[in-house]
Amino acid sequence: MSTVDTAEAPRVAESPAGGVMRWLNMGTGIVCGIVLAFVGHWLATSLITANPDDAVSGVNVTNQVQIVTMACWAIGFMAGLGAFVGPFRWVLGRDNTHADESFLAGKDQGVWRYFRFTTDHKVVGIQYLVLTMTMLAAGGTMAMLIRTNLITSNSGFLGPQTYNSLVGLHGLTMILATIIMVTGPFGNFIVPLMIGARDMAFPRLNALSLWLLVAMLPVLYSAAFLGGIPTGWTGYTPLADQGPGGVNSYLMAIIIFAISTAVSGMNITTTVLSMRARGMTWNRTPIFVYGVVASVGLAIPAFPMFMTAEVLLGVDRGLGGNFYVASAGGQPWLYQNLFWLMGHPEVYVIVLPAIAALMELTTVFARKPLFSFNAAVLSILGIVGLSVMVWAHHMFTSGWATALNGSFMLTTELISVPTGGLFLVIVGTIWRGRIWTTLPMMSTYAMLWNFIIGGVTGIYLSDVPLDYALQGSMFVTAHFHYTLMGAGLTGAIGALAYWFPKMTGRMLDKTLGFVSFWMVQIGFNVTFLGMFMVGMEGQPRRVEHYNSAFATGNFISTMGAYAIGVGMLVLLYAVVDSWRNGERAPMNPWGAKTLEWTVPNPIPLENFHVMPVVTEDAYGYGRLEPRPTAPEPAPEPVPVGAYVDGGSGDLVEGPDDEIAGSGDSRTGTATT
Amino acid sequence: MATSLQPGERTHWWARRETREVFVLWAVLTVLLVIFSLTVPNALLGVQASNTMTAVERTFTILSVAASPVAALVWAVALYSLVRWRRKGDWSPTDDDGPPMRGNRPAVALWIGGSSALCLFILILGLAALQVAASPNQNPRIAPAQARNPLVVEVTGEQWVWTFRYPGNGGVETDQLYLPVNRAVVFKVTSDDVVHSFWVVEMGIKVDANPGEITTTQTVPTRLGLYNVRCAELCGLLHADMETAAHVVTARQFAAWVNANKPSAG
Amino acid sequence: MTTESLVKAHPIEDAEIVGRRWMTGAGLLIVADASFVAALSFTYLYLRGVNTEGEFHPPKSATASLWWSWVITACMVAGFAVYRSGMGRSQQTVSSRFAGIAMLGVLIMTVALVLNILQMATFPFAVRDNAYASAVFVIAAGNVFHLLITVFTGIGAANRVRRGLTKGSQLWALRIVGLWWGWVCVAAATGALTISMANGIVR
Repeated sequence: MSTVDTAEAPRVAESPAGGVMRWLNMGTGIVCGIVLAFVGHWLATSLITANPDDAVSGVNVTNQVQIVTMACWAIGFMAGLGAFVGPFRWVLGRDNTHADESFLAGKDQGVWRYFRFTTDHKVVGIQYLVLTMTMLAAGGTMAMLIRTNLITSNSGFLGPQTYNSLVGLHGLTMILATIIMVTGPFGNFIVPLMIGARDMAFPRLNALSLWLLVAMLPVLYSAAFLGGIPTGWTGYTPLADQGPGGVNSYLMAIIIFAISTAVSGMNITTTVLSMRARGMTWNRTPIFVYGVVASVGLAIPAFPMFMTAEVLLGVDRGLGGNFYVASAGGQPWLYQNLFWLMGHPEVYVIVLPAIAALMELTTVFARKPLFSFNAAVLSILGIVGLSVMVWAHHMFTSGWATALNGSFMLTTELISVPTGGLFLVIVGTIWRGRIWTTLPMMSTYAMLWNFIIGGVTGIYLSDVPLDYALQGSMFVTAHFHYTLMGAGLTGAIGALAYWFPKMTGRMLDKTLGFVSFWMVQIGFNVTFLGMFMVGMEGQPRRVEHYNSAFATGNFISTMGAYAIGVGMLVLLYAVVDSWRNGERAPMNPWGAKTLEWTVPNPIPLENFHVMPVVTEDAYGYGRLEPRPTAPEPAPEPVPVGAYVDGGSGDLVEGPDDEIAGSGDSRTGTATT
Repeated sequence: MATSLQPGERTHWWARRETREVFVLWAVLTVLLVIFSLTVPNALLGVQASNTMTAVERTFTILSVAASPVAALVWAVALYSLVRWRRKGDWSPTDDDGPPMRGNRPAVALWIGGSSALCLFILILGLAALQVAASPNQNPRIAPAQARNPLVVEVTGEQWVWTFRYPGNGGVETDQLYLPVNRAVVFKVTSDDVVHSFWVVEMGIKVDANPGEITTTQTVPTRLGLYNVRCAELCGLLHADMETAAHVVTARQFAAWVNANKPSAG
Repeated sequence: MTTESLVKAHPIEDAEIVGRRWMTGAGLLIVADASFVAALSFTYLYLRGVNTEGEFHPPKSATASLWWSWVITACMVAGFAVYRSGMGRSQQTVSSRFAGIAMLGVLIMTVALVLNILQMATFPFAVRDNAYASAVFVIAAGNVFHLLITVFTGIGAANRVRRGLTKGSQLWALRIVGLWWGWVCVAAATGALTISMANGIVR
């Protein structure tokens, strides 16, 4: 709210820009978080005197103390970082000046701005990228350990305790990472550029959503020291009620994550709804923007359900509540319903933006307009609409409302129609294109292969009697890896390779990219085709050892998994190396027509020196007639980004830094 | 295809080179996938120890066959485009773009219509199969009297063992499942602690064991032999060990087994 | 995509446009919060409907008084009405004494907050007694969380008007605060209604 007030409330700059924020960064956040965590822990242990009755009635003092400590850490970290400075300044009426806003946007702070509560959407996008890659690396390492344990039928490599914990931690890490892997880095960095905006609608909330995730990480991984998450990522009750302290980490991490997602979803949605460039009608809005908005828009109502489920679990564990305890009137099906009310939309939260990114880049590398833009938009909307009505297909075998199984089968199978629409759009775009097989384009092809398999196996599982046979087996594991990894992560890697030149100013190493691509894709298919095999043969999910009849398939899976692991390491090396030493990227290396490629490298703080006006959509490839040039340009037009010749790829500002701070630029600059 | 005309391309869409070649590729891939669908799933799903499993394997095969042309079409276009339309070398700004096709109404209509029809087909198939799964006693080999009077087995899961109780047979209680062949059986499943999932693998039946609730599933074992009962829902430390044997025996053997295991104190 | 450089320099955004943007954002956050409130109501009604093992709210266990919930809700509605009375009917104008009126609203909301905490402290049951107790407790706790934010925003709105920072075309900030206050009343009523629909021992 302060941005508006700035222009009318000029204040004497008696203090340097930024105020108290000058002194706050990630370091103070960590210190403050740790201090408050200790204080909280001490207060909790001394105030919550163990009532003799508690042990009998199920109140677990340890759980209370742990939950309080984790909450204190998160609050302390955010406070130390300066996340709450904005709201309090608003209440006190001490609005940010223009200089304050520029400081918040990270003006002239070099690399330091990546370690502050920085509001510039490009900084937040990069932070999201690093965070996502860190989480994927952690989850991937756990996957390697899991597959190593399963290399023979009874390897005893980890033991059941560690194995079960790793399965849960791997699952949760990966789900959280994949939820943010497209809408985080690319939704924040690329979408505002793509729609011709100077920043997000709410830059401070943008930083808030990112740093909440950073605060979440220690909470999540504290599980490793508190007995793990031996419940799988689904955390089904009442197993989670009786679980060790790691389950407190689980539920607190999810609560923090859900808040972050709601804030981020609201922010991105508002940005797209209200900040598109002049002339960017819905018909001219790139399909990737639709994908991102569909994803985050779906998350807004979905994740609070998840949060509720975990809040209730926290009450059960900390205060001895009975939401999921059958003997006191609770009901495990309640958890399953709340969980899957989020859990199925979440699948599309992951997959939709990834596929939309692939659609976007397919037009570029096929040099063709998107095949049937309307079909693409309607498919996305159709999936969004149907996805909230299918949750109980995860519960066909649960015994809950078996009479409704038929109707949930109906809605689930209906989703295959709009999903087929997505395939139509991509296949139609490829048809007679001039295919340029770069790494991003190869990701599209990989997705066409993987997602067909993931989709068809999904139809098997939507068929109720088949689901009775396959539910809970490795078949399900393989199926959702084919969708979330085969389509989702592949799409995210394609998006990374596609936007890498814009985000880092460097080209991603081609050779290493292809090496990684083939290792990952071949390894992936080997791993999960092997897993389909053992699943159909009857191996349950999440087992630490298995009947020796499944040995062959499991060995194949493990070998494939190692190939993925090596391939991912190659990709990681390629990204880090290219980021530091890669070839400098030209402004528009792919010849794409969306707005983000019209800004120079490195991107100036306020993105556009002159606001773009959009006169047609981004898919005007292969036009036979000359381009329309209406409307007539203003006198002395300044071509966007014309002054830059490649630029330096370093993380420094462009030559026109002084023009504006991003958060404030919409209102403030004209007065300077 | 009026939108996609370029100089020198005046042929009808079906006479175009790429149409014909993709069609051939599609046909070949479809045939290969159908062959795959008819052989591999059944082999992997293993023996059919109940009429439920027979239906499961049949449905699996039918769905695979139905999906084959769809998958083949997508893959055929993808493969073809990589061979025929792939650019040699990198793109440069002076290169020609692809044709400005912004859609094709008949193609979209055909695709949506086709996928909707397929969807309807699998839906009807699924609903019919669901009907059978809910009342599995339509096996011609079962005498009507037996179908009306199924064997009831009370299944209780607890960490990490299964217990089976036969209320109609003097309350026999065991940790291995014994079933007479060709007699309908109804499992009443519950749990003493956390959620488990009762799964007789070769019979294709599964239902969760919930604390405080009784869920049911039913089938008709149709094949003598020794099968696997597993837990399909993560239930704690020794989840992987929560498995036992299911013996399908003749009616006479079953009666003998019941007599031998009856609780002695009447 | 064609871009034309029609606009030089940075346009000053109209305060109303910024206001509409904030209104959109606030509306979306309320959607998320509504999902949370709906999930809590669903929890109560579902658990009661299933009544697992007859132990949801077994005979001889204590029942929450409905008075508290409705009194708190009425109190909140009164606070909201007072706040709104500080603005014109169309919400386009603001009373000259808005700061005082809004502070009165905050005071009433604080009373509701205190009542809410008192209610939770005096429940005739413990959270751990049965599923009914847990569900009622959480619905009340959710309301406390709402009221804390309500009081915070109210103080901010009053203070900013008092200092002359929110005025003229920026009254949208007050409208957004009003939107939130209205929403928490709806949420409190939803919670109270949920319990009222089916309170007492399940037979």
